[in-house]
Amino acid sequence: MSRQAGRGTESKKMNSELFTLTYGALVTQLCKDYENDEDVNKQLDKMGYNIGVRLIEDFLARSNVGRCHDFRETADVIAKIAFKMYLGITPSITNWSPGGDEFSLILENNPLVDFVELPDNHSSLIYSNLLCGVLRGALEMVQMAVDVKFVQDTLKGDSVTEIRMKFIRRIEDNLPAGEE
Amino acid sequence: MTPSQWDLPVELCCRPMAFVTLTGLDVVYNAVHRAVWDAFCANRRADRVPISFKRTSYEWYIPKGILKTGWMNKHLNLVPALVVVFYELDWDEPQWKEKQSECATRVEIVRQSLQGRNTKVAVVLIQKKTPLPPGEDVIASERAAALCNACDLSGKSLFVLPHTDHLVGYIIRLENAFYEHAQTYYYTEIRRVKSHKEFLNKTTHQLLFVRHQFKIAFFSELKQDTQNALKNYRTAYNLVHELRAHETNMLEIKTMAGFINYKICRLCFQHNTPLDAIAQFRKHIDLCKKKIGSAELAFEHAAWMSKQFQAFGDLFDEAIKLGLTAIQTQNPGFYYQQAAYYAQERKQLASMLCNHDSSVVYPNPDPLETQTGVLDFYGQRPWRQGTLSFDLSDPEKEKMGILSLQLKERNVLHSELIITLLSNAVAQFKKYKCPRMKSHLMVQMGEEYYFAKDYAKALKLLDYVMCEYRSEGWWTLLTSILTTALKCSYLMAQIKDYITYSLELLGRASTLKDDQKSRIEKNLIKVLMNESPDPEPDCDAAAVKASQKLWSDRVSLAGSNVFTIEVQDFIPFVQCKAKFLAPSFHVDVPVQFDIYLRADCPHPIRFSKLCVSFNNQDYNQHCVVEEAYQKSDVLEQSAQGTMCLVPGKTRKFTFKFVAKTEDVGKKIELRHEPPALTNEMYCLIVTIESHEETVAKDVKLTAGLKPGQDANLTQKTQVTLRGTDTCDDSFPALLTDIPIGDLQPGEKLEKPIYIRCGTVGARMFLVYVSYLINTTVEGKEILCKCHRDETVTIETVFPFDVAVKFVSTKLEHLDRVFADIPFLLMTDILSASPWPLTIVTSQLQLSASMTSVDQLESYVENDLPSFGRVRESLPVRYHLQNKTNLVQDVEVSMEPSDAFMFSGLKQIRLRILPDTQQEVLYNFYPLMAGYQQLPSLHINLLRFPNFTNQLLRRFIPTHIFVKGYMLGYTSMHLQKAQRSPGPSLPYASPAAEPEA
Amino acid sequence: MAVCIAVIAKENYPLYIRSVPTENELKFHYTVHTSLDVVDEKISAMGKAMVDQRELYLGLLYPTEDYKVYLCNIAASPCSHTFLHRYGYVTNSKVKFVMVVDSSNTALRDNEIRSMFRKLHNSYTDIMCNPFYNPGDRIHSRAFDNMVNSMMMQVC
Repeated sequence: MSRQAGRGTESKKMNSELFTLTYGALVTQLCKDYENDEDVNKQLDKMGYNIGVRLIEDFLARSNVGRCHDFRETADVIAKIAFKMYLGITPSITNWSPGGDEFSLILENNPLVDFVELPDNHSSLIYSNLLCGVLRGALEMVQMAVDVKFVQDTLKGDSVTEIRMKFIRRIEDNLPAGEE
Repeated sequence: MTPSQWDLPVELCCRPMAFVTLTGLDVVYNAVHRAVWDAFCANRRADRVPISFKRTSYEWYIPKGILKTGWMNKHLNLVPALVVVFYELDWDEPQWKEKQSECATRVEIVRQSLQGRNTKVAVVLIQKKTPLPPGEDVIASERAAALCNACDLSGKSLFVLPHTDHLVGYIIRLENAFYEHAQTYYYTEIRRVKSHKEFLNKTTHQLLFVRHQFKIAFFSELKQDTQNALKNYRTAYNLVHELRAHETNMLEIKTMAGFINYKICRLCFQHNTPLDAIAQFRKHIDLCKKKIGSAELAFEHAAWMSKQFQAFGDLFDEAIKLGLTAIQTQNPGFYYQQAAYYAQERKQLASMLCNHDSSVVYPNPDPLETQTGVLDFYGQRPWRQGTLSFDLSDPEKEKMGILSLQLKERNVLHSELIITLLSNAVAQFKKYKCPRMKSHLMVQMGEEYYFAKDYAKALKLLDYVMCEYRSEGWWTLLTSILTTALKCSYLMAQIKDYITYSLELLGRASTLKDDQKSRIEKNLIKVLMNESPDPEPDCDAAAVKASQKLWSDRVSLAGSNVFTIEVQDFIPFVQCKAKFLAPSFHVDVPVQFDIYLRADCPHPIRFSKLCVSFNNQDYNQHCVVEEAYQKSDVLEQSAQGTMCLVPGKTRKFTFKFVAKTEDVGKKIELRHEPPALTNEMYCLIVTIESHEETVAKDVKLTAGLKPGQDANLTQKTQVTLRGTDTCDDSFPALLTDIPIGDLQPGEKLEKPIYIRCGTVGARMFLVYVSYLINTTVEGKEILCKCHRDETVTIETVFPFDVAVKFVSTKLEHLDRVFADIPFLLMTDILSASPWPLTIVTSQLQLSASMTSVDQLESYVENDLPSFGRVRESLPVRYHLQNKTNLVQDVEVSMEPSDAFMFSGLKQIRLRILPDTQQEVLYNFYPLMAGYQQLPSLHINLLRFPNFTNQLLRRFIPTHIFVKGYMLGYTSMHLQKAQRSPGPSLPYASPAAEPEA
Repeated sequence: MAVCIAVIAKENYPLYIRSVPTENELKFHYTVHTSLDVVDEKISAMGKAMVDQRELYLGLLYPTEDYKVYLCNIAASPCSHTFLHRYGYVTNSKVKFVMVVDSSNTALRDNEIRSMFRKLHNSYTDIMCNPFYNPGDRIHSRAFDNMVNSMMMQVC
């Protein structure tokens, strides 16, 4: 790809507080626009999906990883390269299901939620749901249909944030990806 | 305030002054004596010595023995430092011997009644004749010596007072002498007290150490030696706290400590060391605050503490009045506040400790009574005075004593004391810019009035203070104040206030818990249903009973109980928002208007009517919701009733109505190019475009200066439709109802208006269009009268600025012009207009007022050509004019210049006849080209030496431009010069500047 | 240790007040409210003096205060004497922090007070970064509560 040469694995520096505040403003605006938390969660997922289907290109160009042979490799790539590259953190991979098709990403700290405290009237809001959408969208573009959801969240009082990823099936047909 | 046992005795608080007694003056029957007395006492100016005079007859009694509570009073008012005996006796008295003897007797009587005290005695002889200068009157000195001998006085103790014109002068001299004697007396007393020390030992005579130190300090004060007084008081203070203390003597120790502290602080303030005073006071409080004494009389301690703070506050305030500056964080207010705080403590302790059953009888005999009616020693208990032992010999007596004090305390009006102190503090904090502190104390005052059952005053204060807390948003504090206010209004059965406070306490700013709000809401409904509300909790039982009676009276007046309560200044329990659905409506579309209501109270509440008031009252009738319901239904949630508000749910009411036809408008556009220039026929183009769907009939235009502006503007503004003629002042400022005709839908019409503004400034112009239109609204056809207006502000400026200056013929600035001497008037015109202006004509007019101009003594004219040429003769003629009517002797000289040779008179003396002129001719021969300095002409008027060459310089040119050779010749010449520097030509300069 | 900590908005209404639970809460509210007189005065004095207006540690508000604000628990046995000092701090967005400190047991040094204020300021900044917090609202934050708890007096 022609753009490869110009991209290094180094990202340009941007102030992380600005990023956190921007994301926070986005979520609170969605909360104001939609009456209930479920709708907001759905929107965040949609937005994440739209980011993911595009971000995958940038990721592949920068990281130059090859095709993953199994889901385990995918997990490693996601945690050690992708998260590191875009969020500066390296979640740990745990809780593999016996069949090897499900695992958890444990985030000790989540830069999206710096300074955030969920008020009581938004108890069912999945604040970082954008990430789920991003992962789902990105993996779809490399022919993997996955289900991504938060099972633990520090914002809700849990000690860590845990994202559960489940491999559903390989996408065989090369249909153009639908935008949601 | 009536004096209480806690007040500092007056003899402590006054400023000690030397005490001198004057005897022998019969002010009743003897005019001379009266005059002398008055001269001592009346109109004492501040520069006179600090003496307190008392007048007595010979016989006065000095109490024997030492009564401690009377000691200060004794030395201030009873035992004088000096007794002066006045006796009328002239030196030339014929019966000298008898008189002398009588005088001696009087002195002896005085001495006897002094009974061994060291009070000084002096004698003043009142005499009719002025004494002769000392040394001159031999008889006087002889007799003076004899008299002193007879009276056993020293010479310093005998004075004469001639009763003549300069009485006051003599009196003042006498006073100063008396003052000296008094000081000596006090000094002696101090030494006497000090000498007692030798006989004292620290273990057994502790009390005496304090007593003596105090006495020394006090005598020092009487002597006006405040530095030593302060030193000794400080020592005394420390000694007081070294005394062995016990519950039984705690009060005496504190009392003495309080007195001495007071003296120290006052002296520090007097010496202008306020920080020392404050430090001393802090130390005093620190040392004493834990010395409570007997627990059953703890209220006494609080009373004493309160007094300490109050006294210090007073001292501080007094010092400020005398010039001390206090600041926000250190001012008397804090001390009064603390005094009030302790007074509150006193009240609380008293209510706990003095709460005896009514069956308890005041002890008989009264333990608080003493034989003499006063205490022997400050701070002791009346029933065991003078006992030094700490153990109680009679516990029963002690009990009775304590009981009597407790019962007496019950009669004290604590609230009054507290309120006075708080009010003093408030005044101070107001002065030192502590508004919130002031508010806080006012709340305390309000609460104190409440406790004192003066509910009206309490309510007044609390109501006043509420606004402060509301505006700053301190809801917790506001709620607390409202709660007290509600209690007050309940106890007074003031229905309107009760309702108003309830409304706010139920609102969302109130910090009350739901159960309390629920109670208030229920009470509110009761009141609205004409029933008495339940009493507020924690109110005094007797007051509640009284108020219940008041309530039943009020509610029986049912029918006149309609209240209008304005709620825009606080947050009531119903939130209300209103809005129009759109900012504007077409005339045939009904206006839609919504009202949202939301209740914040705990229980649902039902209203009976909602109405809206518009600025155009005619619309009010369209926006009313009303419903009747049963009394019993009030707090029931109703499914049907729209006027029932459920807490937390917002209810919307929609109203629709048709707008009146007058309130419709359409589009006007104004075009113009600001700014306008004064007196310009300024064009304002009005474009009217019809947005109506039918024909706009009978369109009329009104345009011009908006009415209501400055009268001057109106005078200087003219409007016309015709721009071709200039309008004069007769034209109006506003053209009304210009008929335009009809306007088809979508048609545009342009109408130019011309405005002439005579003065600069901003003017508001109004353009108003009215028309008629047929329209159908709700099936009916109506003729609408519509209008629309636009205002525009037009700024008027001057088109240009003209500046004029006076210059001489040499184009130099002139300060003065002179008769017969030409000068130039130069005008500068600066355009201030954004557009180019063409000036058609201009005129210079002489102003109406003229002043005369001076004559110059002499004037010189010359006819100098505009330029010269090198090596060409340049003739110049100077005309010297004599402008005076005297013959002038003139000295003329010509100073050479390097650039010229000249022929002519180098120096000459001339005589010029009056009003004639003389000519002087020169021939200049320019040697160099360029702008050269001419040889300068000097003129000396022998009769007018002031006529200087400076003035002359104005008229005579100093330089002239000299052209060089013909161009070709010059270059040839230059070329030659460059090749070989040969001998220079006689008259030409080698570095000639060619023609510019 | 602090007995009362308050955060006051620019317009002088309280964003947060927390006091030691055993004491009369109302009295502390008044204490903080009245200390605003001195804070306001100091701020306007600073303004006139054109001092560099970064964080302003105002120090002890009433310099000779030790016995001035005197709390007495009448219901209990004879008075528990307390020495209360009030300290103030203003940010350059004009938000004020007021701390009431009981110094009868421990004399807190100026450095310690300053560092407590810095901590408060940092926590306050964190709250501002919470997207769900609207500036001007009352502060309801567990993190802030915890931080304040750590600074308050331990009352058994």
